[in-house]
Amino acid sequence: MKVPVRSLFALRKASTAVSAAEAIPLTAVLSSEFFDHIRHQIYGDSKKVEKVVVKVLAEDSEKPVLVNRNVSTPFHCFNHISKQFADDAVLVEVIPSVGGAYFSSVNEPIQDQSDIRKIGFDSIENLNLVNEAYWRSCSLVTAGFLKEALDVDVDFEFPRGSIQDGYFSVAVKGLDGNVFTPDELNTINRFGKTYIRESKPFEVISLPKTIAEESGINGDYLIRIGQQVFPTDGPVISSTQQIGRFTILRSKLAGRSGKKVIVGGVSIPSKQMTSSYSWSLIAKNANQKFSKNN
Amino acid sequence: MSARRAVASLPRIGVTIGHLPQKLKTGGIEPSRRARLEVLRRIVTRTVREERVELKWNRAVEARPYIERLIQLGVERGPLDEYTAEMMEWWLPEKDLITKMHDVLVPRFQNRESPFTSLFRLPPQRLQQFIQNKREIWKRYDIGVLEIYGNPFPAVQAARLEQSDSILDILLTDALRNHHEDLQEKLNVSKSK
Repeated sequence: MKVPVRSLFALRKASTAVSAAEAIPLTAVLSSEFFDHIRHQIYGDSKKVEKVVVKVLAEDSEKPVLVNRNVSTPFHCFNHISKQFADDAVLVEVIPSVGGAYFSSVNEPIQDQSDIRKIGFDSIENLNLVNEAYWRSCSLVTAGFLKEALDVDVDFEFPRGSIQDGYFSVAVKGLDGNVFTPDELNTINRFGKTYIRESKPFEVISLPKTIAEESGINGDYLIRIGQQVFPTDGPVISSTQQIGRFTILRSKLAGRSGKKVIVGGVSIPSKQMTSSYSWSLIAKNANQKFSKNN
Repeated sequence: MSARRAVASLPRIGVTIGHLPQKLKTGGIEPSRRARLEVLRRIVTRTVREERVELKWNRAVEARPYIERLIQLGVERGPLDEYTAEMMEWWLPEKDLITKMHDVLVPRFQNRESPFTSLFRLPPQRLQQFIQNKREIWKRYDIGVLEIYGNPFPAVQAARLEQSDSILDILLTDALRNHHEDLQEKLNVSKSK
């Protein structure tokens, strides 16, 4: 699957004789090694293990779990209840022993003794947070597989979007204003489906401001999906396994003279199943809305 | 009163009766024409005692009408009826269950119409059948949950939650609204022509 997209775009690149002239400062920095380096910087040496007790709050019970500080994540804690419980978790509410409660990603290491509560797609409370996290994750996944698929160096921006828009989008820099043709979109969609099916976890590091400023990263979190690393401003879902139907609709130029290409798509979680007819309506609506909006 | 006359006086039971008799394996029971009834009697007894049982699907399907009819006899004809007493005695060999049937289950369904039971199908499970020469033999089974209404257990099917803020509902509502608007527009254009 990987080869056709690369070759497709490489062919077009050669035929149109464009060169990636745009400056792409962050791409070189945000590598998988850089992610490991930052993780080491924030959480310290993983060989020195310190234990903490984390209480997992379920609906009508609570279970204390002994975990490794700065190594174990809420996902590991939820696995002590059951695998299904862990797989269903989209976000987690962390209530630390000191300080106020906050929401975090499921794969973010636990830093101190705390109580944690699972938030899933079927939760009644905080559903807007789950929706935001899902939409953000879809943009990141799109960026992840575009970066792997394309044969040119590209950088990404993540425009703020909401479910109410009907679509999510990613701005791609480095394509020199070349939008994807329908054939290319088909190939990309096929590649994307294979990528999502691999159930890649979203590894998350919460960035302290000092480190973010030192490294020139604009975001509160650093996310790694497979080998691709991106900064983002909020929590994300646990794994690509939670993504159900997914499609990249089309691409268009940002603004009139811009060289940025905006790629739009739509997706629904795997937990929220629907018929092909409903999905076709959703995709058609998203395509129309994406085309209308500038 | 004969069985035919007694049953004819009762209303139809509110569950589907399979047109094909389900095959019931009667291993462990002395082979006879009544072995099949013996299997059903055990299921009925267990269901009345436990009020919710997990069975092989075909057994659950077959046993359900018998439980329905037994409860219906209690509701329609009461404990003093000769035929009802005979049936209760045969289907519920444990005497405390006859008391339970008349004092607990029948009053529960006095003002209620059939069906008195519900049957749910669970996903097939792979279960160990037997071990032969240290070799485990596994088989896929269709599982059914047979329960009497008003049992004290939590519901098998969770109540449908209000999920109007879910991603699917938000996207679908918007898509349907726009789809209807498009259709209305097309209709107006065709009318004006």
